[in-house]
Amino acid sequence: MLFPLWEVTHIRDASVYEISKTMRGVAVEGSSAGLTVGDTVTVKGTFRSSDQAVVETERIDHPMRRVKGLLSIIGLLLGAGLWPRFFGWEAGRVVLRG
Amino acid sequence: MADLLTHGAAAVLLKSGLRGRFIPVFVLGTVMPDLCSRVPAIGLGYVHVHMTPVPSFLTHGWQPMHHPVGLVLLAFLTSFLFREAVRTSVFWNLIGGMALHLGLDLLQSHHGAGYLLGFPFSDFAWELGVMGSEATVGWAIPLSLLAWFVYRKRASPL
Repeated sequence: MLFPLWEVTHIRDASVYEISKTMRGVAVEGSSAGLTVGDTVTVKGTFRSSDQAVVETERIDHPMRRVKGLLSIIGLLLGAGLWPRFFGWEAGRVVLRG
Repeated sequence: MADLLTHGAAAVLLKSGLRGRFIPVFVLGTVMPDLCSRVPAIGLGYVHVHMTPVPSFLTHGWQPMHHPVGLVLLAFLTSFLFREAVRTSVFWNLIGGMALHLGLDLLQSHHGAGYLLGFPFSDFAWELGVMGSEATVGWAIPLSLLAWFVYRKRASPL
């Protein structure tokens, strides 16, 4: 099973943590060392039906995910700010400026 | 996806380098895949994870707007917002920007989860995987400054 770019939402103990994205609170059996709530991780693992947990075989941390999100927000704000410089609205149509 | 700052800067650099017209439309095309798919998905995903459960079609139903067929449809519909005289140029510049976006994204590795390039006709997923999904973070600011410089050097933006 592959859980790409899921958020760590709870750390139960040193060997179990929870991740959320499409589903909330998916338990992952694996070392939680170095993890904090809010981190983004990709988890590869197998499903264990007895306790409905994912047994981690590999974990990839994404420490730069928040910076990446911030850069995208800056890009969006920049685009919104520059929009009137390059686009306008006349007679029911978008017009190009500049 | 690479970050939007990098996508936008890459579009400005490419279009300016080619001395092409319709730079703003090309840049719009390059940010549209994330604007129409990732932004609502991330926003509603945040609500789903931290506030209240949201149906999966609301958190993931935007994905086709990041796949080729959805993007062609999006460019086609968006071009109708413009005057007829420029509509064809707008369409192709949107497509060009979107292709650049996908090209940049396909360089990334998501550890086995690729992009559904043939959706809805195929579930074939692929990516080149030559760089990490956060690899562009270090490039974003220098690339943006370079794009701004190159753009300013151009006499006519359109």
